[in-house]
Amino acid sequence: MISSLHLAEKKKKKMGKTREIKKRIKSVNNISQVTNAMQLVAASRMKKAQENAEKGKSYSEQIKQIMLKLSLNKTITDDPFIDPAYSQDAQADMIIVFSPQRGLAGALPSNLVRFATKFGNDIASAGRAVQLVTVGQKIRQQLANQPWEFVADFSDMPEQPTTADMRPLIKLIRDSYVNREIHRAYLIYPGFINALTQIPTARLLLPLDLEGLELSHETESLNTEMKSNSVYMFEPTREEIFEELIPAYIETQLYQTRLETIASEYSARMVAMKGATDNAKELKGDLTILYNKSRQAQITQEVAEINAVRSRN
Amino acid sequence: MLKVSITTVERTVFSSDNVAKITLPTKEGVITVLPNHASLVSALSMGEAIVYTDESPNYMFLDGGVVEINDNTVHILATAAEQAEELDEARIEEARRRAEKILEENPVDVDLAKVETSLQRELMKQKLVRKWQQYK
Repeated sequence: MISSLHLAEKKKKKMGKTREIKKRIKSVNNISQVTNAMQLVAASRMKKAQENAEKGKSYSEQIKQIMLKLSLNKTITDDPFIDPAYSQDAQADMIIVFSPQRGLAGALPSNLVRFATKFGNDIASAGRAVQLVTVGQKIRQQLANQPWEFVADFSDMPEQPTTADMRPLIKLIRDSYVNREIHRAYLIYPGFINALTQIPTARLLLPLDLEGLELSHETESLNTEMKSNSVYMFEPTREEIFEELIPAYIETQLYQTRLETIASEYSARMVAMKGATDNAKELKGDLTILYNKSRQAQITQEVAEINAVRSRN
Repeated sequence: MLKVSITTVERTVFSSDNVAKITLPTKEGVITVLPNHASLVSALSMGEAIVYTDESPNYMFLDGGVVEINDNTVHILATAAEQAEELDEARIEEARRRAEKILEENPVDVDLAKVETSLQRELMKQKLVRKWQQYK
């Protein structure tokens, strides 16, 4: 009597375990489906952001070219935006940090936090206060905890921003600079190297460093050619055109940075989700083996029990 | 022949190596650029640009920016640019009505200068669409 009760209990336990494993297989399977879908979505969004950045490249190249040409022959150092000493008495530097909107992007957000923190602290130890502007929600809280002045948050900027979406940020940067509240403005963002590699990057936005404008090779050779043999007319004046170009230049920089951040976010997510999908598949394989073993053991036990009962009778 | 490209921050709106002449709204007035034009950099105002290719004139809406002309190459960096065929007349009409209504009612908290510019912009676009449709 006692032994049969004991057996029944044991049997129940075994069945419970089998059922448990089956449930886990199902949930792991669901997870892998979700992560797989997220991986595919991230891949297509990354591609789109890259394509959009590519579409805007020719504008940003040409604007750099024109600015260089404007500054040739005659230096317009009296323009505040290219005069490195214009606001050197300002108490602060501004950092504009572009970050992902959401998590599930591997080590990207934490790398960016570490980089931005170090960058800000370097500014602080050089004797200037740090004004922080954020675009993107993911790391805004961590950076807000730093002993910096949190000036503004533009996380509602869409993934494909238009001129109108960027205008407030442009105005903020421009005004702070023109009013000599900040000495320099830097962009900090996860630089997109390729789908597997994103490196936190800082770039000087203001004052403009005409020497340091990154030009493609094609533009560069074109430029030396220009230097030698062309004389331009300027209408209305060189200064007025420059005035016109500055906001456009800031805009194209912000636009490209935003798209690069998005491409980085989605490529990091794509890789993270691929890892998660692979892990889930492996786990599913292991669990299936365990499930089969447990089921077999259960059957074996049942056969043994039947035999035992028959031999007793 | 002129090489012409019209770009905005977001995209290249127009590009052709085969342009006979191009008319542009600059801040100093409307200019027409023919081949062998002198090198020039000029600020643009809001208005229509007309690109004459082999086939037909191409009407374009420009909203400010800068043009660079050098060695038979015309680069236009526009704040905003749209081809006439991309403009949707119904949408323009609606935007125009909205702006007019705001101007009429004249509420205090609206930046009137902004509304007026946007009304002008939509009127310009509408004019352009009509012109283009007539031509078609």
